[in-house]
Amino acid sequence: MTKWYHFKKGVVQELPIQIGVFPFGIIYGVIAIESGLTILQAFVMSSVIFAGASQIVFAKLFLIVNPTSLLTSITAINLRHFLYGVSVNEYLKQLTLKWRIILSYLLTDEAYAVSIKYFQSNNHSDFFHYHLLGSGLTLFITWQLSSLVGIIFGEAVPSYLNLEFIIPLSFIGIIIPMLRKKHEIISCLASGISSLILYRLNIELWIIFSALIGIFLGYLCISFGVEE
Amino acid sequence: MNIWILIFLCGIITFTIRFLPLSGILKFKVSGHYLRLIQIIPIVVLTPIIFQAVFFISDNQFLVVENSKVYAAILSVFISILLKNVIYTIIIGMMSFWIIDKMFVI
Repeated sequence: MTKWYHFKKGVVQELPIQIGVFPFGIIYGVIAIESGLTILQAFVMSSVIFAGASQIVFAKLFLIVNPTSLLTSITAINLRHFLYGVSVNEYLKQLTLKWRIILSYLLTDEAYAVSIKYFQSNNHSDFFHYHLLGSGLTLFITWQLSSLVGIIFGEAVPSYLNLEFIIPLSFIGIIIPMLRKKHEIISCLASGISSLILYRLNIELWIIFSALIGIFLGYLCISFGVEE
Repeated sequence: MNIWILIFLCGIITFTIRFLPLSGILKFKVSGHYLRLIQIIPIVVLTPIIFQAVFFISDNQFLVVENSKVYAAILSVFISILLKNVIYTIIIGMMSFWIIDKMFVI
């Protein structure tokens, strides 16, 4: 199969997910402008960071926490991408540095989800990277367009719709299917409940501390065999 | 700190996290405890953001009973368990939120 076959497969398989990505991008644009970022800053961020959850967290936090907390939060949120890289790397062994840089930039949640499934369910090909290129570029284009729509036309969205509530809902939709074992559920509840207390107490690093509490409890569960 | 610097720093952080495992610089086998702990990181980082957005309304006011977001979020959790689909979770969650919110106003 040619490289263009894999590329087209990546684009076609990524397309249905864009139905969810587009409103998410609009929401980002709306929140970015509402939070005080300029049009240029909001739009450039979509290319420079290119990570939906991180961009929204940036827009929500940059005025209320210090830069260290913000950077730590972004790092913590993006750590899952490290795992994506580890698993994708198993299928992309012989790539040049140029390809590795391009694919690293395009390695988002949605592109990873589509491409890793493709890699796992097809016989190995030296052109697998074209699939990730196709899925990643499709997402990139949708994200830039939807962000721009949100940034420019965001004011037309009535505030009573409370569209920002889409964000926790989308995180619920992402996280709940991940909760398959006891230690994951315990960690989830521990981080959530502790975050309420820490946020109420105005602890600046509330996200980080509550995440650490969740990880600690997860570690205890694993150590004591409380997993299944 | 200047916002532009922050944006570019966040961009560098995001790219570096994605690039490191793909770069070939790190040679390691992920296994056991480490892998299981890494896997819960998205859960423990995103859950606090969900809880804060759901349970706190404006002015940092903690609200449960008369908070339509709480009921919509609970329903969304069930939808996500049943359908395992982000789009359906968002659509049903938002629609239930608008309906419940209207009920509270009345």
